[in-house]
Amino acid sequence: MEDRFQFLVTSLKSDSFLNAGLMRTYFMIVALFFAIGFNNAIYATELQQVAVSGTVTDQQGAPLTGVTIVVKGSTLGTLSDVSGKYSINNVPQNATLVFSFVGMTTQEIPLNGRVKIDVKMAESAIGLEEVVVVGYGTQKKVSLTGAVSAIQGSELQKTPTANLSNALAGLVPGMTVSQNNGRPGSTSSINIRGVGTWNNRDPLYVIDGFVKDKEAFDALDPNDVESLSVLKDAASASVYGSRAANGVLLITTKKGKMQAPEITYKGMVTMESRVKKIDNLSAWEAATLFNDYQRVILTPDNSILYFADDELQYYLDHPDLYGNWLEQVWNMPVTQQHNLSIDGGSEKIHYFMSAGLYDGTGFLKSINYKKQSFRVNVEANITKNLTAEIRLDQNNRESNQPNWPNDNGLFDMWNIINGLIIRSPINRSYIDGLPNVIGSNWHPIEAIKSGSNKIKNDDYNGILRLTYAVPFIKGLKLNANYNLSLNNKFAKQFYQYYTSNNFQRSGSHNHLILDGATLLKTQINGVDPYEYIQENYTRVRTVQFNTSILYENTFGKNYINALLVYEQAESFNDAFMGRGEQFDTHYIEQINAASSDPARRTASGSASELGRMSYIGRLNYNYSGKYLLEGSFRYDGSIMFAPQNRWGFFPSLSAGWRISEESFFKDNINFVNNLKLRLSSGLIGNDAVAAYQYLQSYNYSGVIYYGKAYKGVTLGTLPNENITWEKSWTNNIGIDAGFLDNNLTFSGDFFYRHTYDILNARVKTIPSTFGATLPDENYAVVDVKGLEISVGYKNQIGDIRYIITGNVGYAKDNVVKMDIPANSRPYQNPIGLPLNTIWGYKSAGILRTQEDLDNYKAKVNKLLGKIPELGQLAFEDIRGVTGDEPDGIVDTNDQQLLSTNADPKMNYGLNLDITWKGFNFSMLWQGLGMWDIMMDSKSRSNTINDNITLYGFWRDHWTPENPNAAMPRVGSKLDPSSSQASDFWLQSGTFLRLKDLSISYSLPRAISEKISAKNISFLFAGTNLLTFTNYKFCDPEQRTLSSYPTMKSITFGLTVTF
Amino acid sequence: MKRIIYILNLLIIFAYTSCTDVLDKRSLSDLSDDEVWNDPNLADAFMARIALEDSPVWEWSAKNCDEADAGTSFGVSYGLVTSSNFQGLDYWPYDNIRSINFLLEKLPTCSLSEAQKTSLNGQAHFWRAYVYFEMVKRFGGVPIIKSVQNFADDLMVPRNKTSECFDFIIDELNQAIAQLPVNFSVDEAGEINRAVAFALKGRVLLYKASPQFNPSGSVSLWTDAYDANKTAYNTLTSYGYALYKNYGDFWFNEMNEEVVFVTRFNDPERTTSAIKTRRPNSESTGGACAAGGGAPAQILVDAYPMIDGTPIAGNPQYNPKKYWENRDPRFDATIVYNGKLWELSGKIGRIQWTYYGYSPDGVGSPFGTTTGYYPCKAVELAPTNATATKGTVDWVEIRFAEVMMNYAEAANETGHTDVAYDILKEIRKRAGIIPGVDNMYGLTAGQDKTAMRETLMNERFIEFAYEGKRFWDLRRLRWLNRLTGTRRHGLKSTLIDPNDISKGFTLTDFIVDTKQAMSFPDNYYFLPINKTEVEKNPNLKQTDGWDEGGFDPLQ
Repeated sequence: MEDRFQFLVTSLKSDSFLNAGLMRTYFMIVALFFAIGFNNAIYATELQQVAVSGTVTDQQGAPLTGVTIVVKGSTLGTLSDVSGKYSINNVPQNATLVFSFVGMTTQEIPLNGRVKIDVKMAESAIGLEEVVVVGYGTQKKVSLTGAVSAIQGSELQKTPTANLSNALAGLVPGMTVSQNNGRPGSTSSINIRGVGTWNNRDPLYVIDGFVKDKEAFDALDPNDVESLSVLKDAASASVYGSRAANGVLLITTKKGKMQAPEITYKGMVTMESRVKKIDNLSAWEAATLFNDYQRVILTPDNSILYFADDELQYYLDHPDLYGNWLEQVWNMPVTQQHNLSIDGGSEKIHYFMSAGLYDGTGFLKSINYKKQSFRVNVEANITKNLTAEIRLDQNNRESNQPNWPNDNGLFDMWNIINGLIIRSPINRSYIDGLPNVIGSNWHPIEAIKSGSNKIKNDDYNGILRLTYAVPFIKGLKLNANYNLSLNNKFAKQFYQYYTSNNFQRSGSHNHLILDGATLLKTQINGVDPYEYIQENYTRVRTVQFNTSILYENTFGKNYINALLVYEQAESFNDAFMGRGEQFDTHYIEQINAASSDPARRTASGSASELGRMSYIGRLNYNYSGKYLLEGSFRYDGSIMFAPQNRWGFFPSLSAGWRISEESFFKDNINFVNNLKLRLSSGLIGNDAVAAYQYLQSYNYSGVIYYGKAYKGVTLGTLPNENITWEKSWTNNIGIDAGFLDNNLTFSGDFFYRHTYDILNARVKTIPSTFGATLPDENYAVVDVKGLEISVGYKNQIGDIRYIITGNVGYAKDNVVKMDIPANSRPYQNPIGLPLNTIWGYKSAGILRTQEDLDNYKAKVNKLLGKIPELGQLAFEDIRGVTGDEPDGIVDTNDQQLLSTNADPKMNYGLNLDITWKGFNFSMLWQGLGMWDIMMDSKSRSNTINDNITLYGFWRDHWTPENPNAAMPRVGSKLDPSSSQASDFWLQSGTFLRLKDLSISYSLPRAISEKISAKNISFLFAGTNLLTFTNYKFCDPEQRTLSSYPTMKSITFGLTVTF
Repeated sequence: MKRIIYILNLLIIFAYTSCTDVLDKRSLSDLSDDEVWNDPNLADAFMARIALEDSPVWEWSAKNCDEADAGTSFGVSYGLVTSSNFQGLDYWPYDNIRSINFLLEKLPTCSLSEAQKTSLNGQAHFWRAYVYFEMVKRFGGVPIIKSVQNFADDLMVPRNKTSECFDFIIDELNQAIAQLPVNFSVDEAGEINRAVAFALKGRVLLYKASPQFNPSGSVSLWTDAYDANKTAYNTLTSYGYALYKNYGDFWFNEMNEEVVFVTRFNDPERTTSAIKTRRPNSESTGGACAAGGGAPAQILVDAYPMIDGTPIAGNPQYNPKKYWENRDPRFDATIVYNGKLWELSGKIGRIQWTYYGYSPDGVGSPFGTTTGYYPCKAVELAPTNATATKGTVDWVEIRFAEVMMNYAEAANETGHTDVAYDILKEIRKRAGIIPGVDNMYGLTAGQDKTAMRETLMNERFIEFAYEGKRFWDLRRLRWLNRLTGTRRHGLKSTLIDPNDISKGFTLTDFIVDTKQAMSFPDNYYFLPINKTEVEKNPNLKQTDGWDEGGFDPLQ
């Protein structure tokens, strides 16, 4: 055993751990499992045959389902059934049974010869023993002095999701989670406690003690997560130093419990539909709108450009022939998820193994996302004092979608969706099965079918952890952790042409294309000059190591916990790209089949590396559990900055006072069971800017042609030797309280974060005659203030137990200092405003009548360069080029601040959980508040022609006959004002939605035992089922009207535990 | 047990000893100072990048005046230029100037051969002259920055006088002329050589003498222009530059004897999508010529004389129904009209229809021509609608014909009208115009300076149509205001029988600028400095006539 172990360590030390060592490591794991089997065999021979049974109830005598009963020191155990009954065979006569249940005090009862043991479980005083994962360790919840929110993995596993980030919405006060789009495999963006910088705003992700990126976080199977902690203030986050200014998410994966092997299968099937369908015009409406447009641009009445009456009538009579293009390709997205896990262990070895599969399709048949993952977490007590742990996980993710070059490979696919949505329905997509277009316009459905865009990710991650309890000094532990991870990403885009056709038209103005129409022309369509295949391959290898010394002891009423850590991290990035153009055949989708002309084949590559080094220390002290004190520091070195500015020191100090432990309080106030005051202050950093900005560099790029290609070299960014990290000084005041036997809990935090030395280039103050690409400089200052409140209540009515928790977070940022042009006008001053604001014109309404127009023209003679006309959207004239007085001209000088709520300032969540016998019902409401959305420019467009129509909300548009319409007249050629950003398009994005709903039912034990299962449960779940919002145009979390739509879903699931 | 502790210790030691390596990293994709300035190829590459950034590219200024329709989004011709919306006219390449200054400061200290240093020096001075001239012609005086600035320097630089800028530009060109080689090897054809510097110097002095900069008509400025252009003409002739034999083929036979200042394009090294925007929608992708503006306006079409060189107005040879017949061959090389053979995308026998309602290219069609015409100058026939985005035709910024016309203009202004006649005849002869019995190629004999000026400008209009010269010429002569209040016209062909094209068309003149007439305010002769720059730098005064003004560009 020890020999094998040394072998493993040796292979870990070499850089080629994963390349050469991964297989060996797997062999090692296999060997460990042999050991498990061997241990079990030994237990089997020791056992004496006694059967024990009984009933488990709560204090009121109601039966408790799902209580874990384990024979102490063995893997033997069971769960209580719905009537609270349990039975275990083969129990040694002198054994001790351990009864445990979440939220209840664990009980150990020696058999002493008995064979029937009934137990009454008592609820544990809430959270007193609850342990929370913090940076480089764990802490009891009661003795926390920082602002930390903890979530149990079970909360994330109730509803199906491909990504962890999507499961976090509404669970943590002060954490804004917004879903980017509804594409399978898409993620949510996470922001903790508002926006304090215009550089990196992402929190730091730490998985099993090692810093990872968001992609690795999202790749985790939610079923593998044991717990998740959110470190929000400096006291808890400053141990992560230069990268923790935006908060830290700590994720711990499951490890094996000391129990007989428990095998759990979980499967779910999900069906999706749009939260809100985009309103579209029918063919008749689109034709009428087009006629209105022609009238506005003064097309002569007899022009054939107008749709004639017989043509309009044809559209009315044949609505089925002229459907919206998006609906023609819409396919119901279906997702299935499966997870199999094995969890068990003895005194010497614990193991958790899991395998997961996710397979989801999108709204097109060619969109899908697949994920497969494996995990093995094994912990072994090698000797009495030495514990070794290995965590290995691997996942591969594959995403497929059409390759439409104008989408730039983005997941969002807005260009192609836009093409499908606003394609005028008067164009029939297919005539007699052949793709039909007007002239040489593109055909979105054919474009979707041609070519493909594939992204494949393979992640390998291995962690080795050794913990050594020094035998001669009580409370002293040594710890070493080594992590190696490898990400391989392969992307392949295939772009190919398609053919489309023009048909003979009929109808009195030549607008109709009927079945059987004469084929006039067949053409090849393509937006890129050549058909191509492009392949990108990147490989990122990250090696991290840390070692620590921990001392923990109690001297009388004094408790001390001291930690010292050394840490280092390196990453190596390699990228390669190859491209081939011009294909004679579409059957071989490989670069190999591209033209052999060297000009049509390109290859390129790049590489980069990063390094970090850190020293971390922390000291916790408390006196008799009443007075809590914690100090910590991190000393960080990063290659981002020049050697003399490389090292940063990030200290923090925090204190807590558990007032409820004071005798004057305890003796006098009964209804308050717990009251704690917390104070913290500290410094944290942010270094997420481009590396090596302190060096003068030259970029090798650009090609000029003089009969032959000549490569170019140009100056890189102007060096800034003084560049160093951004700093955030964060202060937090918090209060935790428990009332009514801790059934009602309250927690509140107020924070003030002062971010200074914010890195940005002073492009607004350095005249561009300077000529250099400006480096980032530590310059600006932003303050953020906010508060977070969470309240929980739990109680029981008869058999029904329920828990209600609610949370709300609010954060407001304002700029204290940033570069402002020396001569800028006062109204442009950004100081005191949030970092992100919404600017635009202030609408003066639609010029509905001649009177409106005359009144407006009396004040304004040029509206965006043109004389105002009837039906236009008018804007207020508030200032001129030089003065703050109206000048009769509406131009960019008349733009003004429209809203400070560009980022949602508020987030809230409400969770209700009810359990009755085998049933569990839970509901999560979630929302974002104080949020305004300016509709994006693409969706504001009022460009119209016989190929492109407008969104359905343009139905009610201004015409001389319809002066009171909701929308201005149509046609961008004449009316540029309606497509400008103005408060006409500004709406509140505030919403409240039923994010998750789940109902599950566990079959009575008597039934599940028939197939030897410990538990069988069924799940019905829904996400985004209800949404309340005033935002009219689309779902507020959907970025634009033509973004991949936000989806709602219904899931059926089954969980079986053996 | 002991062994395990040993291993644990080893691990810790391993970690601590590797510390120094962790932070010892460098950028793997960038070059360092030493590498660039001691390697002849990399120093050349630094120059190549400067040329890449600064070289003139295909431009679309036809939309700015009477040459072509303005389309939906170009407001230059409607008086819409402001200090925050330049309608495409802004130009402020101080980042490129910094690179040139950087090179000029590095050259004396680096270890390159003297020959290479001289050549690089000459090219750097040329490019500095070129970018400054492009700014001065727009704004008048701009800050002259000759050395690499540091943060510690006073960055709030004021504008230099226009005259100081001209002196600087001429000085730069004189240095370039002294240092540049007469020619490069075939592999470097198209690099800046001495001829380019001579030609540009002629152009610069022509501008300096023109009414835009010389409203009082100072004779000495015209004399300078005459001398410089005469020198350019003679020198280039001695180097072998001449008119290319065929006007229409000029663009497709690249690097011919007429090409002086060129930006070369080739697939895949450097391509241009400009060709795409000149083609009709049926043979292009997404919008094309008409939607973005740029279809030839009637005034250009009518500016072409007949084949004998006489104007069309009142000309008995001119048939308004077959207006394309018997015209100056340059008409056919530039204008596509309804029913013309235009074999785009390699389609043999392809006829370009532009008649009313013809989808998608015709008048009235959403993506059709807005005037009834398309431009075909320099438009390659072979590319398909997809490959049209990868145009490979070289952009010729100065061809020998311009050197000649600049010479003719300066000659006329200095009383050498005979030179102007000689040159016009040469130009027209090459164009394919019949000499006529008087051997005058349709020119009126005995024109005075003023009449000859009009003749020369009309010749420039048609000779250089769609070559980005017209707007700047009108502006240079302060003639833009002649267009104010006028509207561009087009010609609509309508099928006589909607079902039978062989019955022919009726032709009607129509107004293209239906909504507003053209407008060129007086302040157009010197553009404003971008508002964001004036806001940043209190010493940078705005051009008189714009916003608050404060800088007189005529000094």
